[in-house]
Amino acid sequence: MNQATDETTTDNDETKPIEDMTEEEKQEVFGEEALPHLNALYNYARSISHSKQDAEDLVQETFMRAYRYFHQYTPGTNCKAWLFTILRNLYNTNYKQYKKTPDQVHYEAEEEIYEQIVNEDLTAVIKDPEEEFFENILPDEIVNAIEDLPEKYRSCIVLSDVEDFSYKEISEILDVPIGTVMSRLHRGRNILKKKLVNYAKDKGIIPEDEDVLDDED
Amino acid sequence: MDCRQILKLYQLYVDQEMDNSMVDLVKQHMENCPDCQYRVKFEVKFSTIIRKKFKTRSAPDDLKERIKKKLD
Repeated sequence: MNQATDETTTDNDETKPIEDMTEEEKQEVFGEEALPHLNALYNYARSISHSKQDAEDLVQETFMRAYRYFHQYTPGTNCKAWLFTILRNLYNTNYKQYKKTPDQVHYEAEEEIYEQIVNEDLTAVIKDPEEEFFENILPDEIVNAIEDLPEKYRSCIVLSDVEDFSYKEISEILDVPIGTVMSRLHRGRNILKKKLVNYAKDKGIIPEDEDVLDDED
Repeated sequence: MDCRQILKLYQLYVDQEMDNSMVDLVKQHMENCPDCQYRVKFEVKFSTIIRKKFKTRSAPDDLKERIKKKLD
């Protein structure tokens, strides 16, 4: 496999439409443009499927399908977004229906309350955003908190915060309007913040309530 | 630009989805408003921390090998 990736592509290959390429050239371009996104795809697949096995299958199917339809991809354009769209479609058709959506109703009901309290709560309790609150949160807590979010919020947060996709790209990957992406991000982050603040309070990283902090200060 | 507008728009700023001209207005406001500066700083940091701490899982090596083999 290294033979394909070690060779540097000539400029001609970059501009040549994929359908005009030989199988070898096609493999080379695929190796350079698609394969580097394997980890990102796997990470996203893990977070939406909640299963190692499903994530591996999803990623493998994504690459097989991407290679089969590689002629539809224009070299030099956004390969990562293209691959994520394929993975998302595969997930929607083959995996989503088998997954339960735990606590969906519960979350919807609580969403409004979260919206109201989370911001005042945070600003009151954490005085300095640079300081210990964030540094004391372990990777596991962040990952767990994200994993616990309803899938629609989880997807948007991973695609935006972790994978750096734009609103427009996320809206294309998930096939929802940009406004929906924005509100899911907003709500998802609020739920996440609230969870992390509760966690931090439980662990004594931040005080139980603001009065304590004000008194002691 | 006032605090109410910042509250409505900060997400665009944090996610770098804001026009440059608007970004300047937000920055101008923040210079004179510690509350908004705090809020935006917090959101930026929050987003960064999610990225930093979430990017820990990489695909298993055998999956990479399997895919490469299948493509050969």
